[in-house]
Amino acid sequence: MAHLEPKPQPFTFDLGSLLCNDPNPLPSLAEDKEATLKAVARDTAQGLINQLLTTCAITKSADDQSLQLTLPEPSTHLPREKPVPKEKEKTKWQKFAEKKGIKPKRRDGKLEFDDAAQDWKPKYGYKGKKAEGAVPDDWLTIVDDKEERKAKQIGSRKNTGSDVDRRNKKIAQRKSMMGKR
Amino acid sequence: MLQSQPLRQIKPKNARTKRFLENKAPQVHENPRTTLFLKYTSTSEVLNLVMTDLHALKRPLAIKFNKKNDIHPFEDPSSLEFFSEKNDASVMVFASHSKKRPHCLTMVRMFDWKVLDMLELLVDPETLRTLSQFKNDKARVGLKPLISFSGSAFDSPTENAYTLAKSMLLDMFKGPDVDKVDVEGLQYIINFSVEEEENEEVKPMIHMRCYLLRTKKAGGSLPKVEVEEMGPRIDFRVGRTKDADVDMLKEAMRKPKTTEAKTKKNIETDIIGDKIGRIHTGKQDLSQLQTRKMKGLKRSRDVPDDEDAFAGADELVNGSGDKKARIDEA
Repeated sequence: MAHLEPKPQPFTFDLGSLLCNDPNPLPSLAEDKEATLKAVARDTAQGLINQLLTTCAITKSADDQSLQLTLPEPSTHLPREKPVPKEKEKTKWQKFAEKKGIKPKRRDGKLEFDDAAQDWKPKYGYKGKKAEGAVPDDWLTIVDDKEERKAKQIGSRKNTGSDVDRRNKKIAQRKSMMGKR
Repeated sequence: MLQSQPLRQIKPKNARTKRFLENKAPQVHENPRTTLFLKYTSTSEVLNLVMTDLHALKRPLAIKFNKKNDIHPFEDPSSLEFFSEKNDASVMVFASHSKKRPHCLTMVRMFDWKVLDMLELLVDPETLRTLSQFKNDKARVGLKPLISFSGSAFDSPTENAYTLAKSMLLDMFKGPDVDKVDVEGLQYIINFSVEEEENEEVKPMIHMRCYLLRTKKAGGSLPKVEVEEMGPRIDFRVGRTKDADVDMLKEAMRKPKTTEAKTKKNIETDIIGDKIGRIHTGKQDLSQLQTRKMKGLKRSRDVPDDEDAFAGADELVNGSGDKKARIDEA
């Protein structure tokens, strides 16, 4: 380790509670007690900082750009302050639902993505998707007679049927059928 | 003197009270322990200084009582239990000074507002130096300290006063459990060290020292750490102890059920992400193996099976297999 003399027994760490255990026997404090204790403390601090910086992930916090260390769970098992909370008793419905395998319904949203329109559209209702086999919106259209007549003149030349043509054709068909009877 | 009677059960009448009671009730992830500082009818100047400094280190998770309390924790801890429940404090530091036990701090740890274990620490008045006697900057209030324990006595495999002291001191000073810590927040270290035991009579002292950390850039990726004493400087001798009741400790050491799934045995995932299971089958009994049936291997009808003949003979000898014998004759 960097800046740390190797010890006969290695330090053990509990990074979750920022703890360093130094199992080595303390050097004699007969002379210069404070300096000795300081040296011992410095070594443990160095060991702990080294361990923290090498094993914990360092991230930048989102709000104020300070560096944060992600600590593991504390490994030293200490007694609890209060007993483990008792589990809440299940209600009659919860027991029944569990037995029957009833799970709460998943509520899907009302909107659905329409690939054609590239937009979110309601699944049904106002501005929603039309049901299968429903009457289309343009089942009835107004025919402009003038335009049709013009189109007919061009159409007769080009022999392409306009709406009026098709209408007249159908009327003629019906009349001929009447005649047959 | 206060009598220890369970506090009146309060049914919350409003949301604030409900929240308060929920916070006080047992939880899976527990709140950090609050430390309560209180004193006996007679204390010393030394103890007052020590209490002030420990309180300063422990802030904001600490409560300090100013009034004197006529309590003898080792004889009757009921008042302490009452204070614990009333203040929701689970570590107590009780200061008392007498001729027999001079400058004595009793550390009491609670479980479910009852005394779990106790430890007496006798302060050495000669070597005490307070927080304010060190003229330098102090660590900010409420930071999680680095803690270290030096000396082989703390690591003893058998339970003794020092392992108890380690457990209690760690519990007292470690502060809240956090999953992230600011690098700027690693400002000071509390070091407890204990000398080697030289003779049976004199128990070695526990030296508590607090140092500010100074990191200096040095060659390589890791900084060099320097320490500067911040105070307080306290030397303790270990006095009486009260170990935890076995049943109580067992209850206290219980871990709540975690939501994460238990690792299943013999199922692994390799580097590529394939799931690999290992199955252990028993040894196959080859004598029962059914090989291919062939006409030539069939036993003939008129030669009876050897085993059947023997069984019949046995029963005839014993006289108990009459029925079987008759069938055989027929």
